[in-house]
Amino acid sequence: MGRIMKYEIKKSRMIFLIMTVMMLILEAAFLIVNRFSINGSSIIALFLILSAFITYIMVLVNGVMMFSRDMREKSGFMVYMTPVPIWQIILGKILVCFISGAILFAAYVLFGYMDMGCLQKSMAAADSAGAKMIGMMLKNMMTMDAFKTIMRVLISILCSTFALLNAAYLAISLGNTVLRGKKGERAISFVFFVVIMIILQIISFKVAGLGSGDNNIGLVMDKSGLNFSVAADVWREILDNAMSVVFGFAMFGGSSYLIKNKIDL
Amino acid sequence: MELVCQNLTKKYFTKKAVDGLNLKIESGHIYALLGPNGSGKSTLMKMIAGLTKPSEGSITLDNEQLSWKTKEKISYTPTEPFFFGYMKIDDVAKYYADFFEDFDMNLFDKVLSEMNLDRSMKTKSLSSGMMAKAKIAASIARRSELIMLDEPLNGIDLLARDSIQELLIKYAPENGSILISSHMVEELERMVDRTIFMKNGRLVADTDVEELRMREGLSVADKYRQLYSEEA
Repeated sequence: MGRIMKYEIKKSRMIFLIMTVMMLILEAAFLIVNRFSINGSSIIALFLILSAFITYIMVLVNGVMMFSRDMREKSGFMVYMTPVPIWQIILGKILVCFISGAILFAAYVLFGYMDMGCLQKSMAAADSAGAKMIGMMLKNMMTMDAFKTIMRVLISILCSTFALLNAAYLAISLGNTVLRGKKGERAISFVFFVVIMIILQIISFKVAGLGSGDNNIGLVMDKSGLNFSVAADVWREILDNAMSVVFGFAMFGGSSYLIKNKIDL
Repeated sequence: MELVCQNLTKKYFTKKAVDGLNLKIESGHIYALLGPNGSGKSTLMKMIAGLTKPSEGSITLDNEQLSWKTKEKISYTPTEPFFFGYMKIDDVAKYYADFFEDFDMNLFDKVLSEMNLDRSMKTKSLSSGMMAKAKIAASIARRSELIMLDEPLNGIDLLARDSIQELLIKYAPENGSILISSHMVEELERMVDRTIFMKNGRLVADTDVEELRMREGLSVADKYRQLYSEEA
């Protein structure tokens, strides 16, 4: 599986390079502009946050596109002719998404924390009230509670991403099984994806009443500044995450079965 | 090495690409897989390679059902280019070496130089003839028990074709076989010792080339015309 992951990374290196360069350019722009203009650096900080979201989406989209491409194009022979079990090939692709996403995300978090410190210094130098707010936020982030909150958020994102990715892979596998490379396969795969996501939401709601809004993760502005807030019901959150993982593995099994037994390359 | 196909069938919706095929491929031979377009040759090769699933029947390699493990022993080179877009020939060699224990890097380099190819060449920029040579070099360097080449001579100039045929004969696996499909029947005849003829997904003849000459007084090309000109 390590070999599969190595070549998945190599196949995707251009997109990873673009995302890394985008991040570094924005970061460099922030550091330069912060010396001269707080407003300017605040705007760039917003672009950095936006860039983080775009990176998350691009990592997922790239993972799905790579999977789809290997099924539709002849280059898929290179992957599926190797003496590697199908489930390891799929798991390798998923892990590459996760690891690349995690590395880029960690870089954004690191830069984000550093940039907030820089912004605070600039604001303090300009005698701005924002400096105090950012200072309190930075202080709050270093507490155990904040760490726990961040970990809960991260775990939720990871679990839901796992389910989302596997739903996409299953939808593509189903599309290929039904239409076998004919026209409309991408459209039918998208329809399958939407149907799968709706089914998952319905099951989550019926089993645990999840998705009702009580379990949402949110951003809250209070006296101490901007904070993440998560639902007080930790057990519901754990159930939600567990269900995402279980569904993810079930869909992973489905994709592996279809590729092994039903799909022609 | 013995590959056995029993009652092998592949259906695409209502059409049968391969229909009830029974075939045995044994070690120590070079087979020509012949037939007109649409006779099921590529589908058969893909099923043996594990890239296409049979609708019915079975394929065994040394009495073992085909699985991801048997891919270690089978090499398949399709007609179309299939290397990853970012690859140079050097990357192709490293990829094969990473995944296949039977890949012989020295042999790969030797065959490359005989084909006037260089490791630094990008696969995307290769002409169709050069791509065909690169694919064959990778296949020959895999010392698999069964090497399958689907129309490997397409787009290759005459001298290169002669050179490739010599290389295939020279480096044919000792305890294995080569299965080649091609429309260049007369050229193939010079290097194969067994022929498999397919028509509409079915096996119509499976003959030894020497026996064909001695018993029927026919060359492979003559036999081909005999079998397929009737439908014209």
